[in-house]
Amino acid sequence: MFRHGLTLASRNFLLGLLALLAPAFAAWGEAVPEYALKAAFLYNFARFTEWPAQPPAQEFNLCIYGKNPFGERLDTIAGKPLHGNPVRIVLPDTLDSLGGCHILFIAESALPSLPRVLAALDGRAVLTVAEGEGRVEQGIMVGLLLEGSRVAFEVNLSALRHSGISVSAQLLQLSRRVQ
Amino acid sequence: MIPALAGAEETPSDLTELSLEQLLGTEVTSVAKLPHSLARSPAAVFVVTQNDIHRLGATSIPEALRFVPGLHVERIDRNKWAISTRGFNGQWFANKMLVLIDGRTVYNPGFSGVWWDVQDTMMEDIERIEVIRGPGATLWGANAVNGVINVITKSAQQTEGNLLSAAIGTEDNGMAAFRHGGKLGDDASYRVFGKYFDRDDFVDEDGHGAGDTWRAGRGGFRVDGIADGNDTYTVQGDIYRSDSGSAPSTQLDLATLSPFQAPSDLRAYGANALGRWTHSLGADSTFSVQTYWDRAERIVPLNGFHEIAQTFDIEFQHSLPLGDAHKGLWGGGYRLVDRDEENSLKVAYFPEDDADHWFNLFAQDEIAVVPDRLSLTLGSKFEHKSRVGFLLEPNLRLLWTPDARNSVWLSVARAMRTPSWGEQAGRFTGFIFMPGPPLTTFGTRGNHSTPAEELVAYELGWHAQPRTDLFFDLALFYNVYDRLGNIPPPGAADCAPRTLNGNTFLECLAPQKNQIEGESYGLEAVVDWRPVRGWRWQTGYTLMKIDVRAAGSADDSRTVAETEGSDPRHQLFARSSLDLTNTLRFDLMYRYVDKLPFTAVAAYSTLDARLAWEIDHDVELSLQGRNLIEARHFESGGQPSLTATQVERDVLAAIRWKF
Repeated sequence: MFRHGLTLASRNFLLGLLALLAPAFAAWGEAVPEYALKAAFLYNFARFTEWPAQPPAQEFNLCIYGKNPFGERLDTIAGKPLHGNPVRIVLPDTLDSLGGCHILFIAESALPSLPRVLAALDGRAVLTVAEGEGRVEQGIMVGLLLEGSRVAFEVNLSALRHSGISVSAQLLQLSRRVQ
Repeated sequence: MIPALAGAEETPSDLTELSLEQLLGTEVTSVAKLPHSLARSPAAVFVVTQNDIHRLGATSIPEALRFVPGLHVERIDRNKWAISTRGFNGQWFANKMLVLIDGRTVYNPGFSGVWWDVQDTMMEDIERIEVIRGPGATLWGANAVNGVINVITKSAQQTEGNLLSAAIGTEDNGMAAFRHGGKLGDDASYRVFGKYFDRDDFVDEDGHGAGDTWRAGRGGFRVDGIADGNDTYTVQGDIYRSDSGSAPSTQLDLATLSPFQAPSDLRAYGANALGRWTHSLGADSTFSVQTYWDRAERIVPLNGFHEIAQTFDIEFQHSLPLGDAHKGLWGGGYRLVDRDEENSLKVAYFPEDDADHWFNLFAQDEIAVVPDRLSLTLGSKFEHKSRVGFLLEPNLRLLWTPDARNSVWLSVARAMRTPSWGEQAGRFTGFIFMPGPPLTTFGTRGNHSTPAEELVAYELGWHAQPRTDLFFDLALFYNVYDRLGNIPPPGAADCAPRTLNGNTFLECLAPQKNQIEGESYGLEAVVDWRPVRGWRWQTGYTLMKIDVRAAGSADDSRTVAETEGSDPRHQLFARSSLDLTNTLRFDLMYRYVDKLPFTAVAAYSTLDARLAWEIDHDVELSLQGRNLIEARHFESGGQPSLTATQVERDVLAAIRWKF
């Protein structure tokens, strides 16, 4: 068969080429696992967000509170640069430790304690993200939701303003709804 | 190459390199779980979100419930509603529904119903309304028989800033609501709000103004804060006044024994205050305590009804994991409901003033029988109410999740409805009469030994997501009722001559009984489809039938006919939410409600439409038309001494401004 004839080196070369092309494939409608896509959204939100001046940090903390639905999908993001610092994935387990997050993804399992989470974060510059319909009404800054087989997002502008975080106009334009 | 491509599909290379536009265009292969956490709940639950309320243009809580599958929202007149699920919307409004606003019960024990005219808040500050069809007595206690409606407002952290909303329309002389929110120090937020509306009357059978105007004002506040890292608290309160007109009905002046036509206009005042404290004991364990006071005063000058009901309630709840496979929840509470009546010739209570004492304890365990596949929830409420005694309200729920796209649940539950003050201690006379001689009046007489009504409910449901853009929910129920309250026709022994001001008439007072038993069954289905981005389509269908009879040798064909004929057999709704552009939204809702045989209300179809333009993120203008198909129609047949009026077609223009 054709591929048995390839040398190891050329196979590596082809894989490398594919790796380069894969993003383009994905953009043409190639289907990807849900949480791989959602992880990429998290990374992108951070790129379009400006946090107010804070004490210099060594790392960019991307936190997941509650049962982590991403599994290993976050590994592709860990260590990548965001706002000059490498991304660190943090799985905090107490409310007290949430203040150190730049982005906080509140997993479904933690939604019952959402009011306490939001109270603990009140006034802090932490970009909160959660999945599902109506999350922005519950005080989350960015709500991720599925529209058909695509991921869309909603933005809660007043919560953002309140926290001192600013997001680019492009992000607002691309959001399905600004609350 | 081919295996490599397949590999690339499974774990795509770096998606973070894509732009946001590209990400938005990327499809996901599978949905790891059902979209709502509610889709995994072993109950028939439907949630009305703030987005739904906004896009429906709902100006009151009942209007926001119009599209909830399984719910029958019957508008009696401009300011009165009867709202029920799975039947029983006939006997003096609806008497088997528990309604809570931010954890405070607004169920009125005087008539086992809800005065919907005074249940209101700033519509923009409602976070969501959860509607649970079927019994909820294990968690919420007695009177959560056929369903529970839970109105939940946003926390004060979510409502900082100013919001002004105002509207005017062909049936609305004007309404305005203003909210201001801000910070109280570093760790707390507050909001205050006020609203007022003046609504025009509907029309009577002949299309003339019926006099059922409605004016109400309300103010309130809410504070949410954090005490230290693990303690949060909420303090909130409300005051209101409502002036509700009504259409004239035929009344009897007991002092002169002369009939006359008059409206039974009413005034209502109320105030309430609530405090809640929650302590977090780790990621999945909390302890909370809540207490509230509520005062509701209602005056109907025409028949001398004047009631002040005050509720004081304190309850606690503790959730905790019990090993890996168990999630425990337990709690308890005490409630005092004090009633202060002014007896009149027509409406009287014996004793005139009284108080109910309630104690309750509940415990529930959610057991992961097979992790992520099969879970069993077992629990019960144990209640004691003065004059009624002990009540036991157990529940068993099983949830089976065979795969990521389906979940099937079943439930067996017992729920109780405690007798109302009227059923226990009331004497209502002179509302129905027959000209003489001798002039005969018909009324009812309460009975202090009235037992609680019992329901045993069997439910089966299926939540499914066959495709990522399609969500489907089905619930089937079979309810068995026992000891339902009734007032049989009076016998000769129930009638005696009575003399007032020298005038003698024959007064018949039928005693309160609990002789009705029977079954109801039906199904509720809803489909939620998002064919393309920016378009959502929801359709719901409800089928319901009640079959009751008088137990043993008792005979009460009137109550049987009323119970069986006061709810629509079929209900259907279809709703479209379309984003025409980024700033222009267009919503349509169609409803069909089947006839109500007992009161001879015809089936009706109605259509609401709303167009909204978001000028920027802070200002929205909207125009909506309601009840567009017919100029007017009845939704209700009214009650003795309460005349229903016709809902009219109307147009409403509104502005919402955040600043």
